[in-house]
Amino acid sequence: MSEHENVQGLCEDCGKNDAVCTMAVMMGTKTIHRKLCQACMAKTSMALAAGNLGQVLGSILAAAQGAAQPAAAPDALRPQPAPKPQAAPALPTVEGEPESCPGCGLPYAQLRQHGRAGCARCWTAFRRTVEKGLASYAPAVQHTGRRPVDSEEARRDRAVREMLQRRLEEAIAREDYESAAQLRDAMREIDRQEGAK
Amino acid sequence: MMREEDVIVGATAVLTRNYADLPFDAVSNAETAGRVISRTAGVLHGNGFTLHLLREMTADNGRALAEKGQIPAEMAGAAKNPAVLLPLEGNASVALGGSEHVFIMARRHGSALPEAVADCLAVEDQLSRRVSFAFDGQMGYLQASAEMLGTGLRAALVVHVPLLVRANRLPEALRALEEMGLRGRFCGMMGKRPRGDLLAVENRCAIGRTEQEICQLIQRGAEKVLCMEAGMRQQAAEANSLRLTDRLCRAQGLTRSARLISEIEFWCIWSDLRLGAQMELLPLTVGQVDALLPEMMDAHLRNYAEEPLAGEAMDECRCNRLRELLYDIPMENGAL
Ligand SMILES: [Zn+2]
Ligand SMILES: [Zn+2]
Repeated sequence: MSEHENVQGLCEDCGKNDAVCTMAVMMGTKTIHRKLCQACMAKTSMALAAGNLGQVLGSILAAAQGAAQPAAAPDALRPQPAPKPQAAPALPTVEGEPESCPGCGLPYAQLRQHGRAGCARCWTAFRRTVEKGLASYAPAVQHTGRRPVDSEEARRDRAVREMLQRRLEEAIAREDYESAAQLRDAMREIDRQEGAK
Repeated sequence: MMREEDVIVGATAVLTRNYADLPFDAVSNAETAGRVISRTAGVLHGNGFTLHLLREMTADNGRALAEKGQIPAEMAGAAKNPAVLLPLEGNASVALGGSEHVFIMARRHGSALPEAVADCLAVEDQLSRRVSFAFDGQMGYLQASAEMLGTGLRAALVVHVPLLVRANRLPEALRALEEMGLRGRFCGMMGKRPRGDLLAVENRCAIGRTEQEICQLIQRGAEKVLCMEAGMRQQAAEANSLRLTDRLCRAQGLTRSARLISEIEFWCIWSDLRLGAQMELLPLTVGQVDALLPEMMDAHLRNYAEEPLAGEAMDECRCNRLRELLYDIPMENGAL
């Protein structure tokens, strides 16, 4: 998928489409290189674990990061306090909230129990609940940090690219690899022009 | 006598982002995960990052990524279709297909928290020029987890507080942090003792403060805990505790002569070695002791030995690897 790569020949996975990228794949302790098409990259993709995986740092830091979510670590490594299966609901009840999210159908009770949304629309649908929940420990329930870059130009560039991206994902889903390759080329062209600015 | 940079083990930052048009269940939904991977890798793969799919790795290679903090621990287990973009040179990795769509994760040694956060923000810059993330004027970056709403930043300073642990003063430290709007968290428990006597000082929520303000608050919280630990160390030094010195020297004796070291024992030894190095009671540097991590973790040891070690064989390997790392004694030579 690198713009700088110039890969030729057929995809070594499906054997049908033109390969567009090479990927190093870890097989046991050996690393081999495979040429793949865009579709196979997106659908099955590839992995490697090269010996030198970047900067080494304490696993303890890993534990600190991992615990931002319910960890699937061995018992001894589970962050404390361990999450209890039937803990108190993460968010309070607010009268008059919808029964479920219009975006994803997540029931209100489930959102409160886990403090987790099913889609981006959940938080607007249940805005008053999350306002009340966060107000108990946030200094203010108003975002003050960085915001998306929202110049007219940035919006336009992203909009075109995102339209192509969605069509690419749809093409892959219906296994229309020819269109997928064309869409990928179009997106690369946009990225190339962007990079030249 | 106690230098701050020796007590703060490291800084971690996790910045999460989500795509507005995709459901938030990338953990159980392989198709959603595939779309997240395709979009994110479409921008980063080949531009300073390389994409790796976890299911095409050995389980130990996946776990080793978690041990290094390059993916959240959950991803080496539950997620259906997780992937990671590893940097060619930079400090931040990007984990995909977990409980949030995009985890940008960075770690730094010592107290370099602003730098770790900057590492994450630089990758976010690179991404957000090409894709847009779910955002709301009031709630900030929209997340699966309510706690991450706002900046999507969870940052932490990990501090080493062996004397607070011994003196049972941790509850006091945790209360002090809570009053500041922070949270103290252990990086695992070994029996009743926090693993490695380590405490992560982290933000409790991500909304209402800027990224910079979150870092500053955590730094103040860590300083508070450090002051408490420093007080205890001062007392210990003045008491000229032969008992403490004895314990720390014994820990080093174990690293030279033991034949089997369990994981629990390793963490006790590690904490003692670190304290001994800081108090200049042992001929070791803090850097040497910190460099044992994450090499001594299970997946790293199995990868190193190229064997599916377990039980006694694992404890023996841990022991030999420890000697190799600390004293340059080849693994096959065994104990001194
Ligand atoms: Zn293919
Ligand atoms: Zn929803």
